[in-house]
Amino acid sequence: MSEVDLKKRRLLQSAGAWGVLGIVGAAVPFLQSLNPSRVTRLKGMPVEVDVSNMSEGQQKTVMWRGKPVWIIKRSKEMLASLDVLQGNLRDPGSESSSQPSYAQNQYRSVDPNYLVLLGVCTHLGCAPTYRPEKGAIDSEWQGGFFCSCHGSKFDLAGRVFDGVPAPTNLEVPPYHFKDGALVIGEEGE
Amino acid sequence: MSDWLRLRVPFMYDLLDHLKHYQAPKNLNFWYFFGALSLLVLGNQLLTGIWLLMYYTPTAADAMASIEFMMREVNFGWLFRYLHAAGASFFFVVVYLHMYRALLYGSYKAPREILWLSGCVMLLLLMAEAYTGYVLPWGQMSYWAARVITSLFKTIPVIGEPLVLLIQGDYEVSEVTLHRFFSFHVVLFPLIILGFVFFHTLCLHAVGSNNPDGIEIKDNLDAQGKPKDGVSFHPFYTVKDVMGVGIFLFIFLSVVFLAPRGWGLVLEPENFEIANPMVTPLHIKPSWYLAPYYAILRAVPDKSLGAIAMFASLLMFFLLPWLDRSPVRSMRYKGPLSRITLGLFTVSFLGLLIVGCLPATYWATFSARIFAILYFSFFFLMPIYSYYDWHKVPPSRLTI
Amino acid sequence: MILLLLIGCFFSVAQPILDAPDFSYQKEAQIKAGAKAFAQSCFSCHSMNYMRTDALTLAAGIKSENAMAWPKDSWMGHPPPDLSLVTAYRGVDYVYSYLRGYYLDAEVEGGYENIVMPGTQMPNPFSLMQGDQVLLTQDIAHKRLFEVLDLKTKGTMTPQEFEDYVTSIVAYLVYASDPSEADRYAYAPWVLGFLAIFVLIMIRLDLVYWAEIHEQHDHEKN
Ligand code: HEM
Ligand code: FES
Repeated sequence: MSEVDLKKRRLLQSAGAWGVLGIVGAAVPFLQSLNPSRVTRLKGMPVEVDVSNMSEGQQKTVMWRGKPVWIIKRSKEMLASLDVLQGNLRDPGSESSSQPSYAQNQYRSVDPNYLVLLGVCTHLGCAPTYRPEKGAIDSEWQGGFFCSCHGSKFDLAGRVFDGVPAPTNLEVPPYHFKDGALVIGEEGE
Repeated sequence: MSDWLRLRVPFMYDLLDHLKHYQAPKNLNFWYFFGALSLLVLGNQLLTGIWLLMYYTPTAADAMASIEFMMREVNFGWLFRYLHAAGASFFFVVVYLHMYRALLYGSYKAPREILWLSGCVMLLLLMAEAYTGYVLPWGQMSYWAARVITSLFKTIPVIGEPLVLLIQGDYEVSEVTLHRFFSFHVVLFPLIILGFVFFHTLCLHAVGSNNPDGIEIKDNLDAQGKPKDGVSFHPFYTVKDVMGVGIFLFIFLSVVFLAPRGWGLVLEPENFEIANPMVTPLHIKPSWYLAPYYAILRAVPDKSLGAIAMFASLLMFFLLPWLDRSPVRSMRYKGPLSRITLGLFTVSFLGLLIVGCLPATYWATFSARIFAILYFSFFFLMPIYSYYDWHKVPPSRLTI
Repeated sequence: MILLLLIGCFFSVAQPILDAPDFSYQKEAQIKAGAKAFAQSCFSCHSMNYMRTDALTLAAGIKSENAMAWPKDSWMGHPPPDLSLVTAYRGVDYVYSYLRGYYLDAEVEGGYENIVMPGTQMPNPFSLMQGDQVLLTQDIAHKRLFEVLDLKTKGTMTPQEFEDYVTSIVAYLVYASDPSEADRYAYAPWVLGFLAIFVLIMIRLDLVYWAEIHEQHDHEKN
């Protein structure tokens, strides 16, 4: 290869490398801007909920990052129903479901009295309804959540029943209690 | 793989081959950057426009707020806004230089009349595009520019009034107008412009590039039928054009990053104030790139005649191929009359541009009249001076 | 206010030369101080709506939801405007000179007139801090402000303190009108440096390629 050709090739290589670098660099702002804006990020900050005056069995819904989060104050009786069902559940130990480690227990919560769940069906994202009354959906029904879209059923800890389309238990968002208030969207210390 | 594709999309290969082997004259100089640069700026406008659309809201109450929101809260939102705003100004810089090249080297003359005309149409489209875009932030200047320009159409006899109603969609420029200008700006005009760009390029490749000597390279073919004075576009002009792109981006991005308001030329101060139909800004002026025609409008002391003169000043460009009766194309071989008149035209265009940006004082109007006369004489007298002017005989081969 | 300005411009063509603020080198500190000063002196009447999530702004206590919402017909139809973009449309020097341009005038309501914007609706926000200025001459055209205004009674601030105070407010307003400035200046050297090197490479590449063509051409000629 002649000297000119070598020079040409070296220059072509550096021009190419520089060009690719430039295009990648130019793509960064374009992609970055697609991420949530600062306002959206601020809106996605943790939400504080006062749960002190909730009555037993009551459901409260708050929005966090565009999704409904349910808070349910469970009664003794409701908690007792959770022991009975083990056999009919797909993932009773929440092994393949998504929840913070502190909610991977039978009650799927930090404080068994308060259940905190993302109100989004793990099948295709519909919003299930809270049906606490016994026998509301079928004769065995101990109270729980029913998704009318494709008939998924969950118990009062958001655990999914066998034989329905939803694959996993309802998700638990990160949360903790701070000075008696419930803070959703943030891990505790 | 390549055969598999070649069988199915042969036209893609033809296109690539054509681009690769397109024979361009060997002597193209920096004036020939501006076509490729127009494409680059067009790409910039489309891309940043798509990004701006993700946050822009076309309502009277929220238009400005949505833009200011984008500039403060969205990651790099300011960058897209400034790229788009400065891009508009640079588009005109580049296109005006592109056209000036044609004036210098007679690129509008036979057989490139249609190529030139398609360019002229694009200039009008570009103005419409820039003007509708200017309205979108719904600042004071947006609003009043919309009012002033739409009322220009009122001067058209008989159909004027109904036409203006048709354009505005309301008895006065309002949010309804904003909505439709939005639709024109983001869909209608860009689509038509893209169509014309395609047509423009097809025409160019059919007749071939002119060059600073203004002679046809097709008149000197070698044994294989290739022009002796031609080189294939790729790699010779791709390398050159990429170099031009680099230089252009350096200048363009200097403005975007260091002086994005462009000293009031890119983003006018008055337009940071939200539209107020009750209060006209003290001094209404168009964007600099429309100022020459606006100056002509103001120079004529009669409303209808002023509007006619303004439109005529643009239509003049369309007539150019038939006004120039010189036997040679390039200014290099034209005589002193052509050179002087082009010089005076240049002065008058820049003069009108400056005067159009100034308040209409006595001296501004006075000089606008002088410049307007010069401007029109360049075109009206061209059949005479171009015909009787001295000229040199161009060489038969390119001077490199 | 614009209307009054309009009238002002027609009737008193005489405008003094505007002063330009002398921003400090510690821009960020100055802007921060400016935000505080803005909260103290301006925010009781003016909103700062486009700066809704800016940390510096919020830290100074300037929050959109706390801004005064004036009815359209308050202040004789000229309610205090939002100031997020005021330096962009009025000009930096104009705002700076305006804020320092109040002087005693018993004939106007409120007791103060403004040399830059005669007939302004805004009551002098700094009368306590700055003290009172008086107009030395009616002939203000093309004069500097210090030539025609004189501090008659002292305020709670020394002239230098007041100067810093107003300058910081203007610095904050300039920042608010385009918070991207710091980012832009930080990116500029990288972007432009990158392009400069790219251009150098391309120029050399262009020369190498075209040397071939020129050689060929010279060859043909001989
Ligand atoms: C969107 C705007 C435009 C784009 C993207 C564009 C693109 C191009 C390109 C890529 C070329 C070939 C490269 C060059 O010669 O510089 C070209 C040539 C040309 N364009 Fe345009 N152009 C635009 C507007 C115009 C306008 C407004 C006019 C005139 C009114 C015009 C007239 C011409 C002529 C006459 C040529 C051939 C020049 C020669 O061969 O000497 N173009 N254009
Ligand atoms: S989405 Fe709930 S069952 Fe399908």
